[in-house]
Amino acid sequence: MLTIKYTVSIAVLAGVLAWSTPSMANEAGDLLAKMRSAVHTLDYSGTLVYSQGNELSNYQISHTLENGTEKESVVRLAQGASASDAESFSLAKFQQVQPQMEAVYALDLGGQEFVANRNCQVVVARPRDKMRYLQRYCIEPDTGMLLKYSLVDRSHNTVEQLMFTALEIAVPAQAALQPTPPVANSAPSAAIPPATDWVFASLPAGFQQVQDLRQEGVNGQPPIRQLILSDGMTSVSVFIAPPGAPSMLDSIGISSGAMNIYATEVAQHQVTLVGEVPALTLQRISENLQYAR
Amino acid sequence: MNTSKEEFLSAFIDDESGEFERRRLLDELKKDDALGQTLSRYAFIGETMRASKGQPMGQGISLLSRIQDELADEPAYAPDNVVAMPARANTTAAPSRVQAYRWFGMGMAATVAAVAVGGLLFFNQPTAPDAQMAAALPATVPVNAPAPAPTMVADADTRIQQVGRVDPQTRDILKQYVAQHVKYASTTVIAPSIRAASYAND
Repeated sequence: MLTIKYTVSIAVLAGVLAWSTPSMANEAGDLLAKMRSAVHTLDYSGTLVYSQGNELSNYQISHTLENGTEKESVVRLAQGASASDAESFSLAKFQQVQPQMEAVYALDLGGQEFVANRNCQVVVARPRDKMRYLQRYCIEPDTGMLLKYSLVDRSHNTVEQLMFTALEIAVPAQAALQPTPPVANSAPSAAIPPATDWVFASLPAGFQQVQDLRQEGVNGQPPIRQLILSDGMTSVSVFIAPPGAPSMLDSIGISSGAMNIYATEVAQHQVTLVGEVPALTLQRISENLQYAR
Repeated sequence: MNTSKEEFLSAFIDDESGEFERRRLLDELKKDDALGQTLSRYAFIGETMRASKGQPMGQGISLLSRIQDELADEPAYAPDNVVAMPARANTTAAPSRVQAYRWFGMGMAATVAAVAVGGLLFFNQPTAPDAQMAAALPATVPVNAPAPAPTMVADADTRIQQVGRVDPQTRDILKQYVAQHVKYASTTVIAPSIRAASYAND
């Protein structure tokens, strides 16, 4: 009898654990999806602090939705520049979550925090390997607004972080009735069919090529190829300059917060990789890039 | 934290403290979490005040960098410079309660020191949930596990740190690449725009 009791208890416990883990992952995924929609459908404005390595900076950020059209701006504060001559950037350039994301990240719900006078729920995308950074979000559950975001490396250092210090949110009436679907990345300067001349012998788990763009060269230089790889949460750009283009050093690496740059030469082409991933990831990708012609 | 410590901290931030005082503060920072947070807060306030006078945010951050460098130079307890304690005659396989408390105390001290140092990086560093998150990283190595062999990560990072300067032509090319990456490839939320603004103003 006692054995049966223990067996039943263990089975119930195992069932609860098995149910609760994917449930939390689903909840975390749902919150991320809500966040992705919120930055398009909400009207918001506020200030945030952005830290990149040891650098701190302040930004005024705003987003409105007028007749289905998004208007947004990001202005760096305290640089002596007025808002009129500051550059404006879109806030909504991310892509939807890719299915392969769950193969390389584990989604977890964390605790709750209080950011910019608002409660937010922590969601962590924990990488399953060393080829990407841990991503940590703090999202307001009601609105889906992102209040705090950070990238953490394997040494547990926060390599990039942003956090709102003040924020006002309004839900536009039309958005509440008819949510605007997420907008894809800005139109590329020239999209071309997937590359057949440049191929990757292999890629870090989860990464796949999602775009192949042709960028105009600067000062009359020949066009540059930009191959974009993504694992669904982060991305890497591979810039390929033809022979004869202004060359950089033989092989360089630069790190700025979460962003790394790695340049090398492949088949007499200057190849430069840029992405918010560890330097090792860029190096591995470049080693597997091959010129097929 | 008492008033004298605050005055002490203020003098340190204003670069008015002597060598002895600075050493004392560094010792205090290792064991006083609140002091570390106060230092970060003061430094951030200073940053904001400087920024309001037209100086870009981040230019005065050298203070934090210097403190981190000084803390990094503090002697560390590496396996080769630690003298092993003599084994107790009555040591048993299972740790006693006293030993457990001792390890707990050492762990707490190490945690407080780590939090104090971490607090310098940002005025509001990750709190308990972040610690849980960091602890969940797969990179965590058990205390008793052998030291991992150096990997390509170290090589790549070393190379990156070695290249501190690039010529203007290379810098222009790289800025163009970064701008295009941020514009077309970033997948996260809000951060791409902030990155773009950050690089555009560099």
